[in-house]
Amino acid sequence: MPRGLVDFLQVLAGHPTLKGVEPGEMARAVYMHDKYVLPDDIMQILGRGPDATLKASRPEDVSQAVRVASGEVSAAALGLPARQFHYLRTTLGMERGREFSVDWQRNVDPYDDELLPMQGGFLMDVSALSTIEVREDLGVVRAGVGALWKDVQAAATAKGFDLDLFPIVPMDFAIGDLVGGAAPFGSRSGRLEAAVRNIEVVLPDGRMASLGYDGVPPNASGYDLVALYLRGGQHLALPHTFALTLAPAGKIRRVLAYTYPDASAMVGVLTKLAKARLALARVLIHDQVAWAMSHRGEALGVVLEVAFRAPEAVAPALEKALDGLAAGHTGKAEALSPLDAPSEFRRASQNLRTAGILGEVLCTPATVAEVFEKLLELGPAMGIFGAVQGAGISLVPFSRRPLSRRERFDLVVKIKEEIVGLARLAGPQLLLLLDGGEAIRQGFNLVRRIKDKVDLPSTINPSRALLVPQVAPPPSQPRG
Amino acid sequence: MVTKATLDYAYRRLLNICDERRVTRDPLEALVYENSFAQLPKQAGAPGPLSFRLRPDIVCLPRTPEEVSRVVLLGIELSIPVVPRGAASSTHGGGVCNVGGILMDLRVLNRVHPPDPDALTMTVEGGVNWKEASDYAAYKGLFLPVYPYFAGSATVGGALANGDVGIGALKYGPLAGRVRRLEVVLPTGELIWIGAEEISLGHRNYNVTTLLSGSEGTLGVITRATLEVLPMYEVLKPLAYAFGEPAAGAGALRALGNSGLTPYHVEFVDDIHLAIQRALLYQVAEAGGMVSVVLEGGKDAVAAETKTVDDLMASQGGVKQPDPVALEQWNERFIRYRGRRLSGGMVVNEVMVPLAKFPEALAGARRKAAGLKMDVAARAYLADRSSVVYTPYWLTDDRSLKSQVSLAFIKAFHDVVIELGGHPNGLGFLMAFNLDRMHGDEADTMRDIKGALDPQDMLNRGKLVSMRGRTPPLAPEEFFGEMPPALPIYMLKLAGGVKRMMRRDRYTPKPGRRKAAKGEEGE
Repeated sequence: MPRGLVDFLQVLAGHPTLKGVEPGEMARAVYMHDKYVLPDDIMQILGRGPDATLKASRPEDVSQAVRVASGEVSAAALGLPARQFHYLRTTLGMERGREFSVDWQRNVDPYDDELLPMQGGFLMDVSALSTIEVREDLGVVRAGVGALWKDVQAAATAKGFDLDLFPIVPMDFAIGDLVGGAAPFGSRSGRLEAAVRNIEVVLPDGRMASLGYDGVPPNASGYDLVALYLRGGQHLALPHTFALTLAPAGKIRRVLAYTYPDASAMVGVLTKLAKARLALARVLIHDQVAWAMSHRGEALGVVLEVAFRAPEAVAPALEKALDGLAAGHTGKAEALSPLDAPSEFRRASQNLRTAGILGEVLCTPATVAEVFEKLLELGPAMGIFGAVQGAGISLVPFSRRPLSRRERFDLVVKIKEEIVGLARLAGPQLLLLLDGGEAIRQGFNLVRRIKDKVDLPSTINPSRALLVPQVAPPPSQPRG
Repeated sequence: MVTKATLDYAYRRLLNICDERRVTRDPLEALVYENSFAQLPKQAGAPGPLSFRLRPDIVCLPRTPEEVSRVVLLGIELSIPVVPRGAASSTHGGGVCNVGGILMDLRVLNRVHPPDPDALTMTVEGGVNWKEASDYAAYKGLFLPVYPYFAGSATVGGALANGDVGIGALKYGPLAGRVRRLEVVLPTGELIWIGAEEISLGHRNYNVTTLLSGSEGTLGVITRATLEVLPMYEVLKPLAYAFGEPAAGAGALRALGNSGLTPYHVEFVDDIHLAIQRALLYQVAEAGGMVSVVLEGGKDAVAAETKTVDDLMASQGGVKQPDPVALEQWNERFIRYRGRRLSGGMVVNEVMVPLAKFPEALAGARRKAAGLKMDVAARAYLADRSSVVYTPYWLTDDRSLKSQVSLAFIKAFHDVVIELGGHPNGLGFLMAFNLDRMHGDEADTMRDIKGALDPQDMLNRGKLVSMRGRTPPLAPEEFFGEMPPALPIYMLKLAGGVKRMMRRDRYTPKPGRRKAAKGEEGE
């Protein structure tokens, strides 16, 4: 049985009946569980799932599950009712020293792109870890991994703050969904770790640890583990609580919607915005489909939604500067953003419940128009959400109707082919597997080496440990 | 233990890697490299147990990333530790040897590639000085929005590896966040790029550029970095406000942090710093504290922000200073060591504290300094809306015992800062004893990371995640090399006891009246 995706891909590569199958075809077959291509033993692996789902009601439950899975303590420590304990002992054979792993369940898995199902072990339901505590003195809000973004934002707003972090697509993401780019979250600065001060995690040996500080960023105090754990995905630890930074809401809060006939009319504005020094809270992009699904009313083109908060004296100058940058629009209006209104967020989230999110496409203002058009040409049901993040732009293409796995795979491959040289793919495993640039491989290799050191038996999330094709050569050996 | 024969062989090999003008083992030349901006007790380098081998066995100056890689591979082959060094401007002994070995001076790795005005990026080599990089960008009509606090001396690779926050971070985020991609020589000798040039990957796609930030050269040597730049600003306006008491100035920082404004840079200095400045500069206010606010951007926005800042500072009791005073304070950003001229020495420390706790940290530092009969000046700037980089410093005479025992302040001050939820900035080998106090069990995870990427402990051995010094002759390094964290703590406590018995320092000019200086409005 493969311990993780890395093992699994190696099994595939060395399988006698799969010799000669092209990598693209192999990826398609694996993604679609194609029994006409894959032999029975591979299909069995793909048909597996977790042995048990455990509901965590407090962070210690996650720690306990990891300790049990790693064999450090007996399954009796889980405190399960007798019947369930009997199930663990007999059906799962925990007493016989079988290796287990632990994964955790996301609230929304937008990409639906799992390549390797969990091969046994515990799946943690962390939805009950949803405590929210606003620390006004430190300018942070502490939220459990299962807390929904909209609830955390509502708690911050009640205390006169805004979150620096926002979902690019108004879906019911939990805060934990942001780890490793598993959900399209954004920030105006484009640096997610600046919006996350501290992460409390369960380490692969079951210890609970706090990474970073609540009140200050971790600069110059050793390795930046917060950034590493955010960027390195979920391979190194299971998070249970996040401390997110807050921004003062400001006396004046405005959300303005500028409409443009098409994406190319918006290029100049996005170029200026990316370079501008305006202190804006967020800049979102919607095509007509995205606007219709997330806002009330129809849009007559591509809409740029700009939100800012400012002191009274500064707000008019800011709006004037913004109007200057946004020249060329066909309409300007005050907008009610779902990110600011809980009822609107619920409605938008409901509308998007069955939408097929295809990944995050990173591009620059110079290429955004071309990428935008190419993405919309993928099909009549396509829509695009987007956000300006730092000097770059994130576009999240989606289909407003549900997608089968075959359709999703074909669309992702098409995106990959269409945007070559214009943009980068990010987000889902499948996109990474298909894209696999050199820099990604190098970064992944570093994470992989750390994973092998801190979690050699792959107790934590083995099925998410992605192997990008063509891994870099092994470290140079000393001569002599 | 590295034998003389091994070092002879290493020297000959290094002559083949770099040319003979860029390799030396001359003790006099190596002597230069024993020192850095960090104030080291002279006894630390003296032969004997529980001290450090500060003098490198061999110094080389690699000029290309490939040469850096080959030097690291040579270190692995011969089991000689390798220490990368930039401008050695860290305050905690990052750029000097602690166990001897090969020291790589990276300042000749200093090419600046022409910036790309469309992509708004600029690629520079690790040994480039930040001020020079900033000046070059300005020459090309571009603006390097974030640069380190010690930009006048620091190198690009050094400041990034040290995890500096930087001037401009309040508006544009910390230094590490402005890096698109890095070229790094790993401790295994591999030369790799991480990140992407054309687009910021942010937290996606295993972009682990931030792993090198704060690693202080223990996980890799940064040989090239692609930095994000911006078009040149329309207006940059420094403002300055004097306060009657340091605490009032510290309170004004908090008001600015909570105002919803996003200035480019906000800095606080106390009365002792102003007294030192007054001895050396012309236009310095006589005040209990001063807050400098630098605004940057479009003309209209800056004008509106200026008015808001003026009102806010006035409500906090600040008196606006004339423009030349504000400009002089701003221009001082590249000259951080001016006070040295008064005494011949200066010890600088740096910490990060929550903004809400900054007044307490300031008061705590002054209390501790008074106990040790010292005048400790304070400089601090906003790292973001809710945290402050606080840089206390004091003047000393490097040659005196008093200077060396004054280091006791660092331990006492760090205790205050850690208690308040902050952390000391920088560990090197002098402050490595703080790692476990700061991170608890997570320090072990950091050691695991070091072990994973540097299994032979080649790069900066005995720094940051451990504290290693001189091994007694013939003693196995694995048993005697590691220095217990309790030892430096005990030594610093002992130094504190001695310092209390000494007379008060007289290097700092007497602070002036503790009231706000006359300003534009006459009072």
